[in-house]
Amino acid sequence: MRNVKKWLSLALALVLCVSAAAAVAEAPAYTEAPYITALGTYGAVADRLPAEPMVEDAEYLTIGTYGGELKRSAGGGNWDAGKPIEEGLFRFTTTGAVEPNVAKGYDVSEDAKVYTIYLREGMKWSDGAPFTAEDCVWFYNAVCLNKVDGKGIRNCHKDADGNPAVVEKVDDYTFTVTFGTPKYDFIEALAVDLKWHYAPKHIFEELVQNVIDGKEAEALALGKEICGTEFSDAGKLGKEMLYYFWNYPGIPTLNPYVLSTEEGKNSVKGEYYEFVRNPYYWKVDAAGQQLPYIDKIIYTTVSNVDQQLMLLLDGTVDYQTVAVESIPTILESETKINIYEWSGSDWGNVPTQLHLNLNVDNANLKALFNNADFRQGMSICVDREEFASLYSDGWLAGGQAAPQPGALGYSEEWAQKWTEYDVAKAKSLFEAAGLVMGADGFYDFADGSDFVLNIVSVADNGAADIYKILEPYFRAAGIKCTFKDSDRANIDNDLMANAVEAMIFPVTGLGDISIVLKPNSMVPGYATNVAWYGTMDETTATGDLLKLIELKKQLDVTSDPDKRTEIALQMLKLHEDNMWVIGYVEASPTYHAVNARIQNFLADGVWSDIYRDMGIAHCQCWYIAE
Amino acid sequence: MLKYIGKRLLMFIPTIIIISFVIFFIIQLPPGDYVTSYVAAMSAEGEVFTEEDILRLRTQFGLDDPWFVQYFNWVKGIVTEGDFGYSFEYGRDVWSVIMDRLYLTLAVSFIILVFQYGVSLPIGIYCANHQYSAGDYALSFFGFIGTATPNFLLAIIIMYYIYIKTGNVYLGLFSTEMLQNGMRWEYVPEFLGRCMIPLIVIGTSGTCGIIRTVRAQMLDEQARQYTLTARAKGCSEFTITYKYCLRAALNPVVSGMAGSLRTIFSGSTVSAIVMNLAIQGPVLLTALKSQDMYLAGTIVLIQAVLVVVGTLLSDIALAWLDPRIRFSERG
Amino acid sequence: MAWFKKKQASDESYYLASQWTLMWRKLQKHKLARFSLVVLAILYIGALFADFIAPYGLEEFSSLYKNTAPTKVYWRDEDGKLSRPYVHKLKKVNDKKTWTVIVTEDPSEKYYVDFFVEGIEYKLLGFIPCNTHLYGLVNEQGEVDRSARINLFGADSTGACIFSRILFGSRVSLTIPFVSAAISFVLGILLGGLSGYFGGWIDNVIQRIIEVLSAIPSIPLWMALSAAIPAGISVSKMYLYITIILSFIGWTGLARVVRGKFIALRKEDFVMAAKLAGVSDFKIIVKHLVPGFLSYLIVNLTLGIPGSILGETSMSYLGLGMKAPATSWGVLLKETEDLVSVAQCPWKMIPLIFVVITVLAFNFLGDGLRDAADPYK
Repeated sequence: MRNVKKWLSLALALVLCVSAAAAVAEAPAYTEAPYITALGTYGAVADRLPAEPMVEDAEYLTIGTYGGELKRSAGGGNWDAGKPIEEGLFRFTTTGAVEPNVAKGYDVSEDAKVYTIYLREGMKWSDGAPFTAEDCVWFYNAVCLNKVDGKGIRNCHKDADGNPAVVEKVDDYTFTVTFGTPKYDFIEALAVDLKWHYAPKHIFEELVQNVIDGKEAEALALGKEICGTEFSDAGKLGKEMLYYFWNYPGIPTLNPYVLSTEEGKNSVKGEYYEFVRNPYYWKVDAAGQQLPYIDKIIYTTVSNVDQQLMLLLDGTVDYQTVAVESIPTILESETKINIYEWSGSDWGNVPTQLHLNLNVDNANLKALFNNADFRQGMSICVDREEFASLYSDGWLAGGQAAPQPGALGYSEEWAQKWTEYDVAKAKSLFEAAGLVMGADGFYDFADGSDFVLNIVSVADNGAADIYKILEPYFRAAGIKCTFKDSDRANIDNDLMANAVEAMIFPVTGLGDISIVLKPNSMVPGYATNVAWYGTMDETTATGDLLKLIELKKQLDVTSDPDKRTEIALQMLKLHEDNMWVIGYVEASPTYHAVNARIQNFLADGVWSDIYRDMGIAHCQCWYIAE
Repeated sequence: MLKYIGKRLLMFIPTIIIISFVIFFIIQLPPGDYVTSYVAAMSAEGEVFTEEDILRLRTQFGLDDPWFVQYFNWVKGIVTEGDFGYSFEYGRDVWSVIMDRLYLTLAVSFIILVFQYGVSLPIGIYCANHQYSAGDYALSFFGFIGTATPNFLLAIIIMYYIYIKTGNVYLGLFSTEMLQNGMRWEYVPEFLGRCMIPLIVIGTSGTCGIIRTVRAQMLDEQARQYTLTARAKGCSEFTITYKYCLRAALNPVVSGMAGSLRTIFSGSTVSAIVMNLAIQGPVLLTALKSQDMYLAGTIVLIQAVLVVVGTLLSDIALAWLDPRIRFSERG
Repeated sequence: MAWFKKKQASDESYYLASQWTLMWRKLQKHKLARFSLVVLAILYIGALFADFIAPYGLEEFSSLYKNTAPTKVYWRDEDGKLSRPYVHKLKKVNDKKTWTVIVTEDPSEKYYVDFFVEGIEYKLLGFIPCNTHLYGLVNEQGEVDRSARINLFGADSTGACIFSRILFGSRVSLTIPFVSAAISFVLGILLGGLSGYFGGWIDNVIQRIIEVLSAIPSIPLWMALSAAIPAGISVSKMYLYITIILSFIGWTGLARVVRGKFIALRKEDFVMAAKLAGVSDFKIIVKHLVPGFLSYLIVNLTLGIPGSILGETSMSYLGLGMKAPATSWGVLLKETEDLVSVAQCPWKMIPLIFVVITVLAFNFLGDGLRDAADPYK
């Protein structure tokens, strides 16, 4: 009897094998990079790819050839190296839609409470271990719920009452996310807030358990074993290894490139480091070639913009975002370099935006900043055309802090609001706002106390130069200003302590792709470093600001897409009516200087954090043609 | 002499303690601490921190103690365990961070120092012997251009013109290829070429001072009675110049050497940043900016120890150079 | 006879002249020193009358003239005949294809160079209200027109005239470095002198102070100081404060040298003799010991000034020094530090020439002084 069973199972296995072989035969013939073949340690490419690899077949892409190195310069790893190679469960397309990426797809229940997410069968981590639903579920339950990665539960996983979602495994390639209340924008929010939603459980399970159990020493020892770095404490360990995982050697990822494990090339704080192709990468091109095309991304560490530019000029670096004034120098160089212009997602040019802290402690200032007349005065006392031309050397025109053409809420009227140059009118507006002209030729408060606009900014970013040309306009209109720039750290500290009165070149400018997806800079209370609302939240906001916050809350619990758009438009209208932030110059594009040997560069992208900046250019699809 | 050195060595420890205290005080003076700058760096990249996160981080790093408590713990660590503390920025102990760049820094600074003195002493002597000759003027002129041009500007100008002439950018001591493949014999010529730029830029900034000092001193000494006597007695010009005058002329140069030792350890910060040299100076600056205080504190402390040692050495050298000083030190 | 009398008189005046008069006479004979003195005088007069000589103020920005080369002044008209000097206004096109800003002269717009023209108001010598400038442009009708510019040394990134900025900058760069060099100099000689002359416990204490001070790193100190200074204070004042504070630390190098010299000299016979003759210690230091190595002191002083000017540039580079619109030569040099300026706007390096000239002039003057001070020559 036993024997029969044994034979039966053997036969079954055989049948399975044959059918599997048949399945392989049917699948398109996948090919791999000679780099991998030469290493000789990896099996057939088809075994390394998932059953249904993701196909990168955007229209602008051409079929590439393997090999070479993408040479970049860097200032110490982190997002600069991370965003370009990041792989979220879902990702944005250039049109702002969300598409499955690591995930194969998803279903949502009718009440929008249960999301079922499907993964790709046979997908593998960069160390060859299978990637399954277990990695996603464990990541949420062990890492996020216990805040092991230093971040905890993201907003995308909270329902309208603020309760965390329940994430459960269905089978190896399916898991569900269940909310207490309807969560209409989970997929978009996931793509913005959390992005990846997974971690290699087979590497981290014991380490994370140790952290949860408070066994710090054991966890630190394990961490050192995995990535060779000794962290000071469990908090740092979790954050670095589970959140900034791509910065450390030896941690498997799903990314196209993985940090080298070779000594001397494996530290993002070193002078040189390289990211090497992931042999188990799960994307192919339209011809069935496993991506990426380029074998390595190599980084030479530099310490300033000039050095980036120099290395670009002699071809030591292939790709760099550059300032417009350096383009002539770049085009003069013997190295053939192409320039691409991407539009931005900000509301006008951020460096020149004037943020007045509407929640400032000083009662006089608060009343003044919240007075629309004052803001209009500050807006129209500047000769925008001359200012913009001087600031940008003629490349940008004057403008206002308003959505870009084509974005939700754009109107020409808004883009031109309060943009005329009229000092006399500005002065009468200041007087309407309650200011009184003092004997020194500057405006004072009605109670006779001196009014001084204390503007701050971050040092060394060009804010001082902007202030230099902006200040004479303010002075001519009777506004006395001071300016102090200090280290970014001090500014952030002040922002959190609500000690910033006014700011140019704000840490976080106004505007983003969408007020719905990422309201941080547009709705008070969503971030800690936005100068115009400071520490304001729903408890301290009043009037239209409170209305704005309430609309956002309403948006979170609204299902109907049309209604959602309508609420979003109402929110934007509030911005248009109030002009809480004053912009002086139109939005500036991002310029990419790309060595001509690099092919498949996205010619007209949008530079935005939620698109992962350069990440949307999908460097796994780039290839080199000398 | 030995007694004098012994006495100086005894003074060494209290001096270092005072210096370390002053250094730590100055380093923690600017507002904020490492957590502030850490939060800033992270939020610059799109992260959001809550007030609570920040408090937790601060406790975690031990930054909620008053600064003198932090100072005491730091010194205790150094004295009892030889532990210079933990670098927040690098995530490992301070000493290992310093060791990363120590040898290169020492090599670069030492070569520059040798270059400075090697070039400027002979020029100084030449200028004194040929006062108001065309050579004297020309060398003064170039010396002063080197001194009057800020190092960072000179570095950029030289790098740019080399780029225009050759199409190559010599940034840093090692090319990407060298870093990728390790040092090989075929890279040596390029490496030496790359060394020339920092040598010229940092070297010239100090040479003028030494040239002018030596020149002035030599001129003084040559006018002294003893020189005239020596000349009258028929001593050769060579003996007069090198045996008598130079010896006396070196006095201020040697006194000034104490400060040079400090630069050996940290290198020239601003120039090193512009030229992307992987030496200690830029590490110090970033550590100061990000308030990575134990790293900054240790680098500055080592510099301070070097200054004190340098002072001691130059005092000894002075005594050796000038018998009058030797005599009075004894008495 | 008359000749003899004259000679006798001159001999007499020579023998009877004080040391300082003698030095002055010798200095006048030193050609290069005399020339340097003239150069320095010109520079200082330029600084004193900066607002009169400079055609434009520090805040006369112009988008049209942003980053433009030195204005070309014509002496001949279209027909090749000699004419009043004139310039053409510029016109500017942004070429999106090559990403270059193409700046050309507009031959249809002609502006004549005129002297004593009206410009922005200022106070001559700080108290005489005035609006006349040494030179400027007038249009063909002879009216002052400030839309066209004459920038002899080109314009900076705000379109401001670099020549004007150099003049205004010299007010800071030719004065404040002296304050700091002078403080360091006096402290260095005094404390170094005391230390070397008296020896013993005084020497010990001063030496330890020197060790502690010279071990204090300058960069963290700059950072701490600039963070401590409030926003309202004017940048040039802030710079002055920082320089003064730094000069209280910067004397240590000189003090060590002075001490070394004093130890060497204090047992010399002439000091002994002076002491036995009852000359006070202070007098011995100032009258007998210091002149013994005056040449070093002069070198130290002449090198201290460029050191100070450049110290400020380094501070600016680290984001700690003066900031525009306040201008100094350090600020001007700092503005050229980027590759694009060196590659595209080489005229921004003109301020460097002024720094070099000043430094050389001080040095050659120092040479002359040294020779003049040398009693054996």
